[in-house]
Amino acid sequence: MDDKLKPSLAVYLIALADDELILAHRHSEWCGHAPILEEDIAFSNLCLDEIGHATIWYQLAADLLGEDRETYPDQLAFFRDAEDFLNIQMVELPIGDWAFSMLRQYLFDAYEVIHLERLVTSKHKPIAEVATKIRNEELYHLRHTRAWVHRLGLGTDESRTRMQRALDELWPYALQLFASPDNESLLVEAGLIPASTALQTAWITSVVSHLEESGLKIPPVRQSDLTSRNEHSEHLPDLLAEMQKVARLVPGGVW
Amino acid sequence: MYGAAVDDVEQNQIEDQDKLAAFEARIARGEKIEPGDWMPADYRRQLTRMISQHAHSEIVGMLPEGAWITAAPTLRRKLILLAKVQDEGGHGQYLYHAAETLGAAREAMIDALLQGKAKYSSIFNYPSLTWADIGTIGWLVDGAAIMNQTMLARCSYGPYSRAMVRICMEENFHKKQGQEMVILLSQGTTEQREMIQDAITRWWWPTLMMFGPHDSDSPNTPILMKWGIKTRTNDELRQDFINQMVPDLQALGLILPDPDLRYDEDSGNWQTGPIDWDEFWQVVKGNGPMNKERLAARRKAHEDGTWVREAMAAYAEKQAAVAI
Amino acid sequence: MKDDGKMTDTQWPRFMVFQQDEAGHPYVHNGTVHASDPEMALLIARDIFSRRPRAVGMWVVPADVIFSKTLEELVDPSWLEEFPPVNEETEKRPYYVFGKFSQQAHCEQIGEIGAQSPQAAMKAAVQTYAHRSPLMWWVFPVHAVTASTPEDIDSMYSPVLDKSYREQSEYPTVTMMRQIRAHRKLED
Repeated sequence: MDDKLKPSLAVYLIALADDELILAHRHSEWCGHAPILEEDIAFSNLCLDEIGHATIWYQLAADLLGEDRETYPDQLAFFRDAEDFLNIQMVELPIGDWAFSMLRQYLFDAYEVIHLERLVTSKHKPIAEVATKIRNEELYHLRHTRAWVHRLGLGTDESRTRMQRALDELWPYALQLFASPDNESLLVEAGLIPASTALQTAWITSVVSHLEESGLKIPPVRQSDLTSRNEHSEHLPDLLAEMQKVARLVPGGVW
Repeated sequence: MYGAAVDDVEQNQIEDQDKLAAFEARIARGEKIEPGDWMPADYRRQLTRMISQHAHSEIVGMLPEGAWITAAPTLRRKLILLAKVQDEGGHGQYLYHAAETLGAAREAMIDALLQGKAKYSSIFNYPSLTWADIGTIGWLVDGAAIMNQTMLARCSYGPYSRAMVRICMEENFHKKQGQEMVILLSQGTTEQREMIQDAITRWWWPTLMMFGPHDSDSPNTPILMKWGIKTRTNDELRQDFINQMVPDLQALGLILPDPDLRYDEDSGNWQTGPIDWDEFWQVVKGNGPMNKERLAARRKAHEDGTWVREAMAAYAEKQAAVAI
Repeated sequence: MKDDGKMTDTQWPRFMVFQQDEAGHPYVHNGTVHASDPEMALLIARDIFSRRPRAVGMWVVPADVIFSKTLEELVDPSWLEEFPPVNEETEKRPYYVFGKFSQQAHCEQIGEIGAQSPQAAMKAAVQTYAHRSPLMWWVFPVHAVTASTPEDIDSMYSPVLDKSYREQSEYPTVTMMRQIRAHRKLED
């Protein structure tokens, strides 16, 4: 790979990791408060996997930037301020009700499966290897959240109303997943990442049919207004204040 | 179901002396009692109470630790804590299953918990005030629980015994990650050392109280030992725990909040000062620092989740109707 | 859902979970899950039971179709009279037979039997597999099983193998305490 592309690729991976970390952080708030004991266990499992994935992507970014892969992930997670995070805004939003969180997780899982399938053929070997390894876990996540979406969509009037409300709110945010990343054309030409338009097409095909089969109506929004991953909602600073408060008590501390 | 068992006791004691003798002989031989086997109504009732309380404890226990997942100071610690709390949920799940084999319905058990009618381990009525509490809970509280659980793995009731074996296998990671945390904090910066010392000071006595009242104040112990449900007394387990923990904590430079603590050469035991049983009973009765909050949190989760449980059940009914 | 005026919560029905640790090994009972339908039960079972030891396959079976008899219950043959005699015209259906082989063990798979009712299946199982001498017997219809597929192994059961932070051995507390006792501090 052309050395000049390394920083851009690292930024791309950090963005991917940030999405996973912030979403897992949000959804871990359900632990101990889920609608039934079995889901306390199952949904936590999802969060565990996502934090693991985020860590791996941060490590790959460290390797590209010549940073220490043992310490760089924690550096990124706990010592950046809100404006330096690169996640999409959807993952910052508060957990809302179970419909909101489950639908959000589903929309993200559907994107991850599609994304990972294409990263398996990345010309950057570490990315291809990691994607191959974690794709299987994501398939399971998608099966789980897909099943929930279907059942809540079709279950009762109340569950369908809540799901529709969640979809109306989440849909425009989800589209930010496909906003073109910085230096996209260079990275795509080098065979390092898939094109965001291709991801969007595949994702739309996958989720629209499932959501409609689940009794839901897709909001008439086609593009996201949110293009820059450098801009965040008012929720992120509070989220990070909580997430980073112990780490920042003793910077460089051994925990 | 709890009410019905009380009437059964009167009846069975007159008619089933032979069955009782055979039952106690089975236990003496080390056999496991399985669902479907004859058992005294009192055995069923004691076990149902014990197992469901144990299950409730695991569930409520998710709260003081779960609260710190969002503030864990490294990605690794975040993973470890999330895995630990998830395990606790899993343990509650295995235990509810064991109680269900005795005829208890999970709806009823949860209802009893949320209405404040069922007990759970009082240790979880204490607040987790700092990150250091997480290591302390792991090493001390889970350490104490493991001693109790190792004993219960030999329990005469099959489903409970098997649940305990499974739980014991998983529990050792909980204690070790807690111990690792306490060690690192005690050897860390001034701030970290102060944090862990404060946590140990707050959790030491409540942990000792986890083993229950002194033997002289535990009327259930003899029958539970006869029926192979308990194999060691409260004081025996408590003393073992103290002997294990004190040398290690002192080696780390941590001070225990007990001016009367001393080593007795003759018995080889660490003697502690008197336990404040008033505090214990206050907390058991519901006046502990977090009793109301714990139940309120569980009630809210339950109530907020009602529409979810109903929706999933409704979907299943529709599918079943279509299949027919 | 109960409708006794007092409590209308549902914790969903119970499913018994069985796990196969390696291809060709018998399925062994694990525990139960509460789930609203069989597909959810299978997904949940994976999260609850494959946290540790690995699995290559799982089954979920509605708890209320498992017919169970302990040795003690079988001693008194009157249990057979509690049930109506089977109509010999009724087609025989396959039942799995499971048994518990030591005091502490879970029930594990013994074999299969064809029968016209759970009670007939139990009677046939006890005769056919008498030489195995289990301490407790279970029979349940094969058609009541919702099973994972071999394709599920990669996505459902394999990934759990990489999670070393659940292992005790990840936490070198013995070494750490030894260092502190010897040198009053930790070494890198």
